[in-house]
Amino acid sequence: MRGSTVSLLNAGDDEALLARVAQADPEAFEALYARYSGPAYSIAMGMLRDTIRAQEVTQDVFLAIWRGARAFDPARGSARTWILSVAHHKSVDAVRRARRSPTVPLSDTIAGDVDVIEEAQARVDAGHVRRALEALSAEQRVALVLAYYGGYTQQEIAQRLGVPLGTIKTRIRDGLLRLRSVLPAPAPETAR
Amino acid sequence: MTHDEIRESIPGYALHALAPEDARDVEAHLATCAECQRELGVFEDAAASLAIGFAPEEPPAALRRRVLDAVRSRRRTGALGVGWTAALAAAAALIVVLAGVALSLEQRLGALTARVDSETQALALLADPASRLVTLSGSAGGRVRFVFDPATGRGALVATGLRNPGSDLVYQLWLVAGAAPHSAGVFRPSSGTPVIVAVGADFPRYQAVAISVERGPNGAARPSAAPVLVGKLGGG
Ligand SMILES: [Zn+2]
Repeated sequence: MRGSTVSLLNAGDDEALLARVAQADPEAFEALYARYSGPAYSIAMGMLRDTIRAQEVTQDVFLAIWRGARAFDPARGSARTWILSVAHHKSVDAVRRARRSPTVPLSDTIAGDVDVIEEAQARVDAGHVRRALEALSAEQRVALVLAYYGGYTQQEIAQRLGVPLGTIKTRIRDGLLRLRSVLPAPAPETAR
Repeated sequence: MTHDEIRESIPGYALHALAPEDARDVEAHLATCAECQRELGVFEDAAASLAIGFAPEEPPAALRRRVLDAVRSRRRTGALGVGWTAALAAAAALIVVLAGVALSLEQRLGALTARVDSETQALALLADPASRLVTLSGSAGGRVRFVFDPATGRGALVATGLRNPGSDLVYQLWLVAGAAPHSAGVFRPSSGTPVIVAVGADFPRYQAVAISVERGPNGAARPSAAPVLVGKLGGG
């Protein structure tokens, strides 16, 4: 690995790197790994709380990037958003598998006794995200936190809170739009 | 579902908060609707901004090596053709068998669509140099192979010549991770044609595939007997 490859690049090069990964360029892949393994692993650890599983998920994420880079369309969004979305998606899938697995006690599932809202909210670390979330209504905040940090589906959230599914959809939509206005997408360096 | 119904689900899709069947509906619509694609971009950006809320964690240095090796071995597999020749031969044999199946397909096309999809998936996997081929061994006879692509999570069991398990019984396929087997479907052998069971899973998580004989038609929640066939996936 050439460590210097990474430091010579800036954030705007993510799309160029991903385009090279789509051409099976291993150096570009190493550079993307150097840049995004931290954020991807942080997402996986935050959601799974297990170093072994978080490593498995991170490996999956980068294999998916290697294999899926050709599907990335820069017209539809930034490379950073795409990579963080892949990392979140794989982590959510792993959390759901862990909850389904018979080795997880029922109390750890959404039907159990743990206060899932508290638990999901405990995963929110960075002060500025906390403040941004405080700009939302309590209902919007709970829906977003359970969905993004808790890995629960809209249906599960509606059931848990005892409100109609349509209401949860609206809270998530409005919450994300509000978040967008108070929390600009950060540069990748601050994502970790 | 209509554009308006899908549009309501886009924010949830961006958060990966849809049930799998709803997510598939959204994906199918997205492929054809530029407006929903634009909308998804907006919500995905907002969702990604939540990623900085996770406490920063440094991945172990050894993980980097494993990831780079995994990518490298995939490229080498294609270049050296390890396992590739065997997979192609298997695919060619399967195509010959499927050509025979195709005649009867004409008559029962609708009911067999799912089966055709499995066969297509199995063929695609067999032809893909990145796929891995595992031969299951044990006491049930026949020739049973499991082909899978760890990166895409697509796989298929291809079984020929398995003996009949008994009238009320089925074969059940399991993915084994530690002490916890996950069911990957049930099937009965059919004489002369291969049985193909499509399996989607996060294969690197599993160490083995196994087949046990269980009560039909739906099989069991957990294996009730020792497996009759086992193949190592070689994963962690
Ligand atoms: Zn649409």
